[in-house]
Amino acid sequence: MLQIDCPWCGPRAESEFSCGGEGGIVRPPNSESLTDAEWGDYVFMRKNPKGVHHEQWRHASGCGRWFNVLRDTVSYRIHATWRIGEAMPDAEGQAAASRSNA
Amino acid sequence: MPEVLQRKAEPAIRRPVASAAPVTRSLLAGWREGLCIVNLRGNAEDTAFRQAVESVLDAPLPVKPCTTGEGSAVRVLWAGPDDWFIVGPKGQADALATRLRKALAGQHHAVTDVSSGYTVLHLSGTPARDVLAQGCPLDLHPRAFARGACAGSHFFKAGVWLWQTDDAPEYELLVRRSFAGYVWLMLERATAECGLVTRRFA
Ligand SMILES: [Zn+2]
Repeated sequence: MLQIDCPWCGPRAESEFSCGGEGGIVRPPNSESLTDAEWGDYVFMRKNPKGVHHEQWRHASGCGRWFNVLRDTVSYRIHATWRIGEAMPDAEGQAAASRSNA
Repeated sequence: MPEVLQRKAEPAIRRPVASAAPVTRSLLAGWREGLCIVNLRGNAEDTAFRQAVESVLDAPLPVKPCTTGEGSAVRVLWAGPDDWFIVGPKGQADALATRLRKALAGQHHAVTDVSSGYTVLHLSGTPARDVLAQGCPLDLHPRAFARGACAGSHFFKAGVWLWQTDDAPEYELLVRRSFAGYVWLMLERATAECGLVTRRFA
């Protein structure tokens, strides 16, 4: 079982968490002027990288908070976790994640 | 004298025991029914909010994750950075919620009496840690989890909030009422080797 470092509660077992898919997606402020394709991109389109992925996870049976996770989808290694609203911390996976986001 | 029921080898039969002497090698468990359980939401960084709450509860509001605040009458569990459970004596929920709402009037907050939605399970005795470990992934070693700590986790498939009330060890679990039957069933299975002594708690 993975150990996931909840930014509030500390390291806990994976079974206490739920994964919410890709993280860091910002809702477009001008939703009324978007085309269907642009709105569809925001609502449905998700990255599915082989490698480091920026995800959102929720500490479901603990503090209930959503938070950011940088996880390698190949090795399952978690490079970093950080609170919503905070900057992505320096981590070895960061460079790889920005590459896969490019 | 509390009513004592004991089960050893045969799970289907619970026979009353004449003596109430505790069977120390077994797990002692029972529900603490009807306790006051109030959920409180608000901004922990707001001094006015903290002061209003603490003046009503006569207990510190825990702002450090996974800790409890102990008062003379109530225990406050940290349940999130803006989220707490207040566990108090039977029949006090209404009065406590009213006093909290009065003290917090005009402030951004939510006070909800959830006494009917939850129930509290008492667990004590030598095997308590081993029994919990069968269904709960928390590190309950005294160096990681002791009195004053609390944690939201799960016991098998049921979400629970857990805290320690004595080093003996003695634990209490906040369980959703609709999961009480399931939690008890799993507790019976998890105590097949050590034995389970059922007791009614105030
Ligand atoms: Zn947490």
